[in-house]
This record gives sequence, C-alpha cells and structure tokens, in this order.
Amino acid sequence: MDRRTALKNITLSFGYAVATPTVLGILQSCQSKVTTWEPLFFTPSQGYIITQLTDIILPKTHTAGALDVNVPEFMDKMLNDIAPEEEKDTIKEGAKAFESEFQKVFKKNALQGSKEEYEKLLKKYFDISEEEKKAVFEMQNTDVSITEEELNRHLIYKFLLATREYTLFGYFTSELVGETILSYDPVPGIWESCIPVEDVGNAWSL
Amino acid sequence: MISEKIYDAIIIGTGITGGWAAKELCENGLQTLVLERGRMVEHIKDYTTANLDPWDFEHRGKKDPKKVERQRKQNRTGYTTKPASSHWFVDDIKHPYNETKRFDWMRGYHVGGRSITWGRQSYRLSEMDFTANKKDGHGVDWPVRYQDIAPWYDKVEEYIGVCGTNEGLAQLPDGKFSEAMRLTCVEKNLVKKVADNFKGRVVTNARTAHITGDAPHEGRSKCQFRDRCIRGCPFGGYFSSNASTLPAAERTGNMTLRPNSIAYEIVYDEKTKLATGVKVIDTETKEKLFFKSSVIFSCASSIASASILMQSKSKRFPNGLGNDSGELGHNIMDHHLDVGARAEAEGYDDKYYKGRRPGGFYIPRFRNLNKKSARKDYIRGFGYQGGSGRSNWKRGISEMSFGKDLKEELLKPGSWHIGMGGFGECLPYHENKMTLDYDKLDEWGLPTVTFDVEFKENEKKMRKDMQEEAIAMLKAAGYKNVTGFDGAKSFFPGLGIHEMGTARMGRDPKTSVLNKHNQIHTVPNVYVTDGAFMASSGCQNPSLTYMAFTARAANHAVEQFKNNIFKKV
Repeated sequence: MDRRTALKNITLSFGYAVATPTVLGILQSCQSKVTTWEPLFFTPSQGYIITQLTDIILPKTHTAGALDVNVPEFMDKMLNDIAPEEEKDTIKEGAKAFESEFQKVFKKNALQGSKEEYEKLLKKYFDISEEEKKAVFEMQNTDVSITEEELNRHLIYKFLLATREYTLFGYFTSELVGETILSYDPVPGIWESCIPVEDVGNAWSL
Repeated sequence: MISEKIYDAIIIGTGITGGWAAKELCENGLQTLVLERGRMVEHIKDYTTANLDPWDFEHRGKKDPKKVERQRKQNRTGYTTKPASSHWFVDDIKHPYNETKRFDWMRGYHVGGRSITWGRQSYRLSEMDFTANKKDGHGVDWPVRYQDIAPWYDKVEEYIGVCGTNEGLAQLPDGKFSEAMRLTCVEKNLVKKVADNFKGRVVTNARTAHITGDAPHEGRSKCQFRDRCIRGCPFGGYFSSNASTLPAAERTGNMTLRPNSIAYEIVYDEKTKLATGVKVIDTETKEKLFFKSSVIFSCASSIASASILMQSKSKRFPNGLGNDSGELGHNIMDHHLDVGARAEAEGYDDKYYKGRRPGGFYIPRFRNLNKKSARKDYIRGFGYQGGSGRSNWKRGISEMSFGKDLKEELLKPGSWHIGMGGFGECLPYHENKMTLDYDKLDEWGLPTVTFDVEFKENEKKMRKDMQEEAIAMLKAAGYKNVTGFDGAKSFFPGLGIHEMGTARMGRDPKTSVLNKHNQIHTVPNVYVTDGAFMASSGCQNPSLTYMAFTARAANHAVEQFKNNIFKKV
C-alpha cells in the first residue's frame, strides 16, 4: 500500500475528532500578553500539546519565545484556514498518534503532561543520528511505500516536523520578532552591498 | 451608441506600451482616447499592499487555496498569486482561455497593466538580433536595424530611468544609464573568476528601470530598496505607466482615459482603406460603443492585440484586419527560463548588506556571437540573471534541532548563496499559434483565445548548455555545493511572461503583418506596438524594446497625422 492510500484509509477509519470549543485557560498560566484562544483546528488537548512543544522548540530566554508571540494559535489558525486538505489530514492523524504515544509512555493523559515529559518525548524523535534523520526526511519528502507498522511513526514525524516548521514560521514572521529582535528596516533608502556584519547585528527581518 | 466626438487617436491598452503611446501622442497635441478593459488604478492610492509587513497579512503572506481556486492558471508562476500581488492578476474563471497545448497566459486587467508587476530588467537588442532571422533563415528579416532604433532606446532609457553599467559589448549595446546597483562581495568574486576563466564572458550589473542618481523624473523619487516592486511602488522608484507616462499624458490635457472599456473590434472603411474607429463594450453599463479616430494604436498585449485584429473582420479582411499574410496570431515566442545553477559561498561570513536590492547581476549572451563561439547543436543564445544573499531563518526548517541554541542561531544571518538562471531565445515557428474559439464565448459574448504553442529542439538543446555553463561558472568561482536545476518538465511557453510575435513586422506584406513603423501594411493608420510586432525574440527582456518601438511609432504617427496622411474619417 502506498503512503497516500495508507493515509487515506487511516483517515477514513478514524474519522474526525470533533473539537470541543473550550477556552485553554491553562495555557496562559505564566505568560504575559498572550491571547486567550480556542483551537479551531486542533482539539483542546492537542492545543495543549502544541503549546508545550512550541515552547520547547523556541523557548523564552533573554529574548521572547514562541509563546510570547502566540505561535500555537498561529499554527492552529494557519492549519484551519489555509492548509491543503491532505496536510490537514496527516497532521490531525499525527497529532492523535502523538497523543496516544504520550499516554502509552507516561501512562497519563496528554493534558496532565509536564514540560519535562514533553521534552523527553520530543527528544526520542528528534535526538537521533544524522543517518536516521536523513531516512526520516526521505520518507517525509518522497512518495515511498510504507508499511502499516511504520505509518504511526511516520504520522508522528509529520506532526512534529509540522509543529517545528510552524513554530519557526510563526515566530520569525511575528511583529514582535520582526520589528524588535531581528534587524528591521522597512524603507532602507539605500543599498550597501558589502558591509561588516557587526554593523547590522541580527539578520534582516524583511 | 456612436460617440459624436472624433478623436485624433485611440490607444487600446494602458500597459507599458499604451502608456508610452499616450505620452507621445498627447505631448504632440493629439486629442487621445486611452482605452483600458480593466479597472482604474490610481498611482500610490491603489497600491493597497505596498506597505504591508509579513505580520500585517492575515496569513503572513501565504496563499489561501480557496482564493487560488479562482486563479489556477495565474498561479502557475507560483508567486504572483500571493496576497501581496494577487489583485494584479486576472480571475481565471471570469477570464477563461483554452490550451491545445499548455500555455501560461499571465496578465492583469487594470490601468497600468503589467507595467506595475514587470521584472524591470531592461536590455537593448543588438544588431546581431536584428539580423539573426536573415542570417539563419528562421522567421522573416526585421525591417529595422539597430541604428534605426538606437536613438529611441536613448530616449526611453533617459525618461524611464535605467541603472546599469556600460560594457561596450556588440551583443548587448551600451545605453544611457544612471549609477548601477552595486554587486555584493560574493558577486564581485564571480565577476573576477568568470573574466579569468572564460574569455569573452562578462558579469555585469543588472540593468533595471529604477531611479538611482540625481536626474529628475517628474512625480517620481529614487528607488528606496524595499524590493516590494510587484505591489506597486508608492515612491515611483521603478518605471510604470501609472507612475510616469500616464501622468505625463494627463498633464497635457489631451488625454481621455477610459477604464472598464473592452475594445473588441477595429472598424475598417473600404472607401478610405483606413480604420475609422474602435468598438468597445463598457463593462459597467454593458453598453456597446463606437469611438472614432484618425489614428489607432493597439497596445493591448501581444495576445489581446492579435485577438482584436482577428475579431476585426470585413469584406476586405475576412481573416482579420491586416491579415493578408496569414501570419496574424502565429509565430508566438516566449523566453524559456527556469534553468541554471546555484551554490553556497564560503569565506564571507563577516560581510552583510543593507537594503533590499531589486535586481542582481547579468551575464550577457556569449554563444553564437562569432565563429569562435559558434555552437554545432543550436543557434542563437541566452543570457543569465542572478543574485546572491544570505539565507534567513528558513534555513532551519529541514532540521530537527530545538531549544535556545536554535533560536539564537536563526536570529543571525545564514550562509551566503548565489544563483543564476538563463533566459533563452525562442525561434519564431509559424505553427506556434493562437486561434479564436467562437463556440466558447466569454461573459461579454466575445470569442476566447486558444493556444497551440510549444518549445522545440533548438530551445531544448540550448537549455542543456544553459545549465552546464551556469554550473561551470559557479564552480570556477570556487563556490561550494554547486547544483544545477532545470524545470523543463514544469516550464511551458507563456511562463516567461514575454509572449510576443503574433503580428510580426517585416519587409514583405505577404509574410508579415506590420511594416517597419509598426503600421499594418495595408491599413496604415493602425499601429500595433506591443510585443506582437517582434520578428524574433532575442534573449533580452523585451519591455525596453517595446517602449522604444512604441515611442518611434507614435512620433511617426504624429508626423503622418500632421501632414494629413490619414484623412479625417
């Protein structure tokens, strides 16, 4: 069975989870200026999961982190509004598979997971050898056949890599990062083709 | 309804040539009606996305697939249909066309046309381009030589503002340029290494229609290096009809600009053997109108002009106005591109830049210039456009790292990259054609265009060389991870957005539609000055040539008009 067919079958047999619109108050416990949001695409527990993951991928340090610029909400909105249907399906299934994996590993509901537990699980997938990484990307990017056993792992990677990509996208194209952390110059008025990198500092945002 | 007023001239279209015709005719005192099928666009005011940062777009500039559904053909470029510029391209459901073979017809219906969204690269054709057809027998001989058009290139370059460097090359004539946009340190290395390793090859600054230097350009200011040109420039930093020629025409008081007016037929009078006017549909009132004039300029675009002429049937011209030769709608050419190479440049990590340069470098044609550079496998040639820069946060996507180190790393500028893509000449093939389908009418009851165009062996063989030489030059420059690319499988005619040749000029009315002044051979008060007139394509980006021929033709028309050659109808 090729991957597409496999995914299609999986999608059909699982059906779609119906998201209960619940305010994710729990997510805002220790953040400032972060909006309250209700996931449109993800389920509330998946909304909690991506909040944990995006915070681990780009954490707050002396500069803002993913949660300071509402990356989880951004990811949910992008998937809900404009992602292609195929991407939506696989990410939804991937999020479900990751949620079950969490339950399996830590013997508790994903909503009760701590940051440390999420980091541990993320490391299991991302902290792998270069060769293994190469194999994963190959699987992601090409239409190779896939066995039923591999499918679960494949879907989890789809979800995790998508979460990572949306985290980078949402963070680096946000107003806060674009205007105050990266170098911002909407109307340069000048083209200097070759200057010392120190004269600019961080990368240009535009 | 027939308008009582008889205009001196009617211009169909407001794009890069319509704007030039309007300026020249109006400045010479002709009462001119300028027709545009699309909506009005006011300079600055209607550039609705010009100042938006990524975070100002609802989806950070990403396309919404539901909106793309209405622009599935326009979306073949991949970039024009993003929210920053999708409003400059047509709704494909509202404006359908047919493809016997795939043809990517990219266009916008609004005042200014594609002069708002063009690539601004401006290169002269050379004597070897004007003699190419004669030399190798493809197409028909141009009735014009370089010296005929050179003064008009001068005039156009000075007026629109082109920056660049004169290199004294036979295949790419010098021009009237303002200060070039400087090359990056990585590109300067390429200049040197190419000169050292490839005799006769030159890497020069892109010649682009942007204002640099201090020459005055009324109503416009210098390029601000924002690189948001495709959205419309509120500074008028690059040339467009809206920023430049249409305001110039407006200032004379001689122009009547009429948007929402689809021209569909040029009316021919058998008695005078001249055209009498243009039939128009007003898209707001749905009225059919007839406007009369002494002179008509068709500047609607290569495809639209040919379509209008084909619809202009009469007893004398049953196959379309001026189509005695049977060449109308044939010989469609476009440049073939999306082939070249890219690489990574090491050793420049301490260097960066300020500003976003809307252009890069250019490598003029170096094949088939003389005996020494002659190829056995193909004729004509190609040039390259390229650029370099440091990668941004996107370099971090195809990885699995996470945490604070990843964040700190991606806030810094990434490695330097350099790339170049070829622009190849396409031969004029009679069988590459468009026809009108009267069974598939558009919402106005007008026939739709059907394309039957393909690239052939000469283009395919040239592409191979285009890729190989791009790789060779980047390797010789010492760059790492040099990779060639050739999008031939997904690159179809039209996508170069340089479609041309549908009403070619020539010396013989039996084999061409237009004469050397862009007049229809047999209907001399009708001039066609958009890309339709091109007898061969060269490999240079063509807009500068269209403008130069338009200015020349307009001044010819003024002379004829003032000498009463076109008697009042």
